[in-house]
Amino acid sequence: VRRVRRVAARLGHTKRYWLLPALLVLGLCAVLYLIAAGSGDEAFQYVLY
Amino acid sequence: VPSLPARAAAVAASVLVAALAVEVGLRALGSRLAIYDVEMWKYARDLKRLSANPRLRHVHRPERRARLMGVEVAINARGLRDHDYPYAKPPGTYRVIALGDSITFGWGVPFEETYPKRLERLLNERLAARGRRYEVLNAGVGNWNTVQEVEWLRSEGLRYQPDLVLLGYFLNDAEPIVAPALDPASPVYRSHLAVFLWTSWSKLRLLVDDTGHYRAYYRDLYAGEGWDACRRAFADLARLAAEHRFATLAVLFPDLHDVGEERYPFRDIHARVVAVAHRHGIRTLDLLPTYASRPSRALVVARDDAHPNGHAHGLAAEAIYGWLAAHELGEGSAAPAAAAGEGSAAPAVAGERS
Repeated sequence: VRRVRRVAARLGHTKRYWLLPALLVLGLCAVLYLIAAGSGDEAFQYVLY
Repeated sequence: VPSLPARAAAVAASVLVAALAVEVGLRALGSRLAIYDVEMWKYARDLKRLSANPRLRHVHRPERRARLMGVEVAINARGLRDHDYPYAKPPGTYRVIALGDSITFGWGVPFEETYPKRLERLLNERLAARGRRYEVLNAGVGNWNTVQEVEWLRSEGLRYQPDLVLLGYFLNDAEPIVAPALDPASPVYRSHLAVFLWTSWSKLRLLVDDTGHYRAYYRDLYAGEGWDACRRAFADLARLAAEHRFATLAVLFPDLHDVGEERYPFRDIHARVVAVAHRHGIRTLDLLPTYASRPSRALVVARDDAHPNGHAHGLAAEAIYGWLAAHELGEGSAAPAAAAGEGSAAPAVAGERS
């Protein structure tokens, strides 16, 4: 139990390294999705053949 | 505090895991999320290929299937989103070919709800007494313009021996044929996440730069080389019609962002297209009055996708059927000047060269 607590505490102290970047990536994708969905289809000229 | 390499490794692993999660999520939920740009990319990747004919640029891959915008799409053996039809027209058959782009193709619309198939049913149900069978072939391919559509008719479509050719026209049919902005050979092309980020980035740039607004974009097309080529394609279509004795009808689909008849921002462009068509003896049917009294949201595939939905396709089919029934299936004498009143509000446009 002590060992689990120690690992949990360590993870808690270092979450800015292992959690924050992932949340930033997910947040960026979510924002892009909302912008893309709300902006109409102005990007149509970027044809993918 | 962890060491610098450990921190860097943790950050890199975190970003990688998140990116993988988004990639997996886009693949698993792609059809449900129906992100317009990603779905269009899937269409290009799965159902299109480059053509050996540079005037066509791209064609459908024969006998391929995909689920796009939540709709099943199947391409037949000859590259059409349709049943297989023999080139030789069966006796007693009146054959219509519907040329067009993603609108005619039926982007986001189930096959049987597309306007060519609805028109086929209407003709067979309501004109059964004439003792003919009617076939309406859907020759729409996404991202084609008028030049490509007429080139397909010349190089392939004439083999089907059409009696009537419908030219589905939309504002962006005056686009020039351009190279794909994202190279299909690039590894980026295989990743849903990469395409999503790339198209989102492109869209953000367009939002910041006002020239990316669709109104300015459409308007600029009619001052460029694409419009010159488009006008020549109308002339080519008229020449093919005279040589091969089929009737023609250009059907103008309005931009559905704002179809209020008084507010519609592209009336002058419709008039220019109609003027060019009439100059070549191609009659026109403008669908703006058909859609004008209806709210845009009732007519489009999705909030971020202004392609006509199944309801709008149904209205188009009824309007085209009504026009054909009133004009002897387009077989009556071509009267360009008289055609201006046929729902097209098309005064002669000064200075529109043919």
